[in-house]
Amino acid sequence: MIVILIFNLPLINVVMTSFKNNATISQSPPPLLFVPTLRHYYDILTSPTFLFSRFLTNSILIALFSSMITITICLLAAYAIVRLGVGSPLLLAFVTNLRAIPLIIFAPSIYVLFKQFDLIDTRTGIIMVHILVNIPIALSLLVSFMQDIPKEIEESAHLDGANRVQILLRIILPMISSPMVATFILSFMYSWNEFLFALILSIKKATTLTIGASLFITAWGVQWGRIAAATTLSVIPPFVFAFYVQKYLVEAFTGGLKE
Amino acid sequence: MKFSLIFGLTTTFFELFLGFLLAYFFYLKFRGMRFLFTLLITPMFMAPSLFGLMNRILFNNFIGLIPGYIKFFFGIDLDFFSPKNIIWTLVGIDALQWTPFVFLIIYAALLGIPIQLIEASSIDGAGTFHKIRYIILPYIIPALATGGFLRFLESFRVFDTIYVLTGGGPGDLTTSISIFIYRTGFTMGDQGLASAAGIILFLLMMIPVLLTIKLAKRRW
Repeated sequence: MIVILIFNLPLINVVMTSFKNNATISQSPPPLLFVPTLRHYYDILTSPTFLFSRFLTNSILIALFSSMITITICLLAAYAIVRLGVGSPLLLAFVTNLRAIPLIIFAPSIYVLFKQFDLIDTRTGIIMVHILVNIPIALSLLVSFMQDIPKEIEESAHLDGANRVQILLRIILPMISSPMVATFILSFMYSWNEFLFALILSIKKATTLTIGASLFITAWGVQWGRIAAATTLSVIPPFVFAFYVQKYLVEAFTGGLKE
Repeated sequence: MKFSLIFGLTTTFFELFLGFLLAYFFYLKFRGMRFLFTLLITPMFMAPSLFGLMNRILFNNFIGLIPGYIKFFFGIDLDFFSPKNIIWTLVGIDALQWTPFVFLIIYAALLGIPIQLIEASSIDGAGTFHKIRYIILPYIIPALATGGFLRFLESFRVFDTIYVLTGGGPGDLTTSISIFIYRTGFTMGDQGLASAAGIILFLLMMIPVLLTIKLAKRRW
């Protein structure tokens, strides 16, 4: 019980801080009971200098598009790998193990490349990188799910005169729809939580929430209440999703290396 | 580089240890378990950068809950961000976020142990310690290895948390390899040096990656 409390202490504290007014925040020791205020939420949502709503739209759009494209690519790739035998097991292992490599290695080269193509500070650029980051995980998951589908079903469909595309869309897709949703949500969460590339590839226009929240540490001093409010709002979406995909999580985290 | 190595090793050690204790505790089953289970793994879902921010608030000298109450109860002015303590603060924060992940892996492995084995050992009169040492541990070694390996890789390349918490400072005391590359490449604008460091790191990391591919092939 106490252990659980310790693990959730940062979260509890940040939610509490977000409801305190500035005077209460700086009291020592921090009071546990206080009059809650919505000021900081109001501030970050309306402040003209701090574009919280833009960060929010950026985050949502980037996460949504990158995970959608990831899923589409990985679905086709997984089908090709499992059923058509494209690529060797070694190739798959190589792709899925890419995520063991520190992402920072790619950062300088991607930055230089994107600069040439004018992709810095655009959502498109960040979406592209996030797809790259997400593919290894999504692919390893989808491949393992697809391997569980019995081959006979497909063969009988083939006898009935269905072609490859029809098989994929009418038979495979409905069968793996729930794991696919889980994979989608996981990629969404990864993209939402990604920090490094969102940091180096955005200047002003394409900033996401994870970066935005840390922007409050300004030269004038740290605006704790606002940081707390922004952080609280930013962790809500992954949370809602997380509860939905809990049972797939172990597989997702260990998947690539266990195979 | 040195910091990355130390950081990676200590966090992995702490997380494996705590994760195992927690997993064993949950394995013994108690009331209200499902609900607590969900609460326990929540830190995993948070963005590391946001989790870092939260801890920055939690451990802050002036407004933090923890230093505030330590001062209130014990009268000690504990500065978690002073050069002496900073590494342990970071290790602690990393452990706070990722122990649940190790816990999850080990817990899944514990559930895979055939229950008859443990019952049989109880009948033979094995104590708790013997049970853990001779039955449970051998069974979960693969899980420990996977979890430890993943955690080591992740904390070796740690970026988000440290960037948000200290930015690599004070000085370059907490500059992990990722932070170093970021600094040279983007703060100081030396893309060439950053790329070179990246390539060296890449070659270093290829060793464990190739190793796992090899291990995986053997199992096929």
